[in-house]
Amino acid sequence: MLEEEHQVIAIVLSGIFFAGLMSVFVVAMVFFHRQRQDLARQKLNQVQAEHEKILLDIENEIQQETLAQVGRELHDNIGQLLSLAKLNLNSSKIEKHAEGRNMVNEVIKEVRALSKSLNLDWVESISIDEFIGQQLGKIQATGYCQTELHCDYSLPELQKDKKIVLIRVIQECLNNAIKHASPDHIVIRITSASPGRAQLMIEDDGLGFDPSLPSQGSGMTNLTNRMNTIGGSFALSSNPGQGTKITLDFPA
Amino acid sequence: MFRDWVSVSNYVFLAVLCIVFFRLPSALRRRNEYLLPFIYAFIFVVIDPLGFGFRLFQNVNGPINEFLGNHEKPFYNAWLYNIVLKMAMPVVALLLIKNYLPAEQQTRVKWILFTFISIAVVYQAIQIEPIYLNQGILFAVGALCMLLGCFTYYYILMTREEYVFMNILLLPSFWQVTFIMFFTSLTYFTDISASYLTENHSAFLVSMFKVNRFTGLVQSLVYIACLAAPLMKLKVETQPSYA
Repeated sequence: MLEEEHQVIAIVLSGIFFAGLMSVFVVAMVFFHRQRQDLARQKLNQVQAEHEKILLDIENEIQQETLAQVGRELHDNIGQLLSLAKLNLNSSKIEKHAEGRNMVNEVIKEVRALSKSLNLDWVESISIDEFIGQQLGKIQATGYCQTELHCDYSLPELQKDKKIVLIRVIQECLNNAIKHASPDHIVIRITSASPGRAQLMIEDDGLGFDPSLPSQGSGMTNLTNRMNTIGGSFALSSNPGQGTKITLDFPA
Repeated sequence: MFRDWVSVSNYVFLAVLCIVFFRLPSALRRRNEYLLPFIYAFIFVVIDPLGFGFRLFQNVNGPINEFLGNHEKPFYNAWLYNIVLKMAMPVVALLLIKNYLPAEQQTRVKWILFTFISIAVVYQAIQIEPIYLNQGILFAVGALCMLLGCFTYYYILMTREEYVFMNILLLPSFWQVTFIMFFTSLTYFTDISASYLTENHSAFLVSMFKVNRFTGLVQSLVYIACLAAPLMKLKVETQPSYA
């Protein structure tokens, strides 16, 4: 009887020990896994915050540029039109009054167009192809250089965040080309390198530069970071006297 | 036929396991994450009834023992346990673990598998221990290989991105591998300590055997639950595919 009791005790103790060992192992695994999850969440939040900051910076830059453009428009265009309208409306000649009213109508139209550009809603209503077309059209209209746009791939509608980043990067690349390269031609090509990914190449035949030389600004790093936030990449190749080629690769 | 309730459970599990597996849609049955756990659990629950069958039908068991060189005790069925539990089981367990690993670690497990098979072949060819007796060394090698496979799985579970936001308690592969590891370890310890404990602490040996059998029973239940998850609409995590 006593031996049987010992037997039962031994079974219970071994069972408890083994069950405890297994439970400790499973709990430890879950504990380490949860710790890893917390770390990953923290990292994800950090990346998200960084992404939001970049997006906010870009939106600010666009707003600043828009305000500067609005200021120029108010001074150079609307101000002039309003002065002319005032002169016409103050004139004693009746036909001048009609001309003055037409000018006021024109001012109203200009103000409407300006008010639209003050917020970023226009980003949603425009496609990347259209935006590039507009930008190249503006450059060509100044007579600064010739421009070309080749669309070998029809870009699908992108999310607003992605579009804002892309618009800013394209603007920055075109600004750099105009400011530093003095090109005769700027060509933009839209292609698809692989399914689900689009490629945008911005080429100019300007002065070019040696990309291996350290630069004082942080423009290239900024552009690379911005493309990274939308899951894309930024690549630049250039040689002194041989122009510059920029390749933007991004999911589309 | 039925020595205790664990022996009865083997027959019950065998029937339930087959019913569950063959009620799965054929597309699932062909997938390795269902087929391999089924084979593993099937081997585990079928071995005792099969061993009993060979003991019962001595006219089959006897000639096999004779063929293997066992002329003294032709009623032994250790050869069956050696072939199934000590050779086939580690192979199936390693294939099962390999299925849950990415390509780089699959290669590592393939090498473990290849090493084990080579050792087993050489071991049987030069007859270090006769196949009709308990082959402790081969069991040690098999258990070690299985444990190496389990550690590789845990390493992947704790380092790969795919698992970060999963609830590992709802991951069938986690429970399958955990039971392979614990059951193998316990069986191994029981096996190597059996001869010493028989003489000195027989009560402790009996308790270890009982705990081992109970763990085996829980293992069978876990494998059946993993296989039955799609049928019972149990909420489980989807295993990342590395095919």
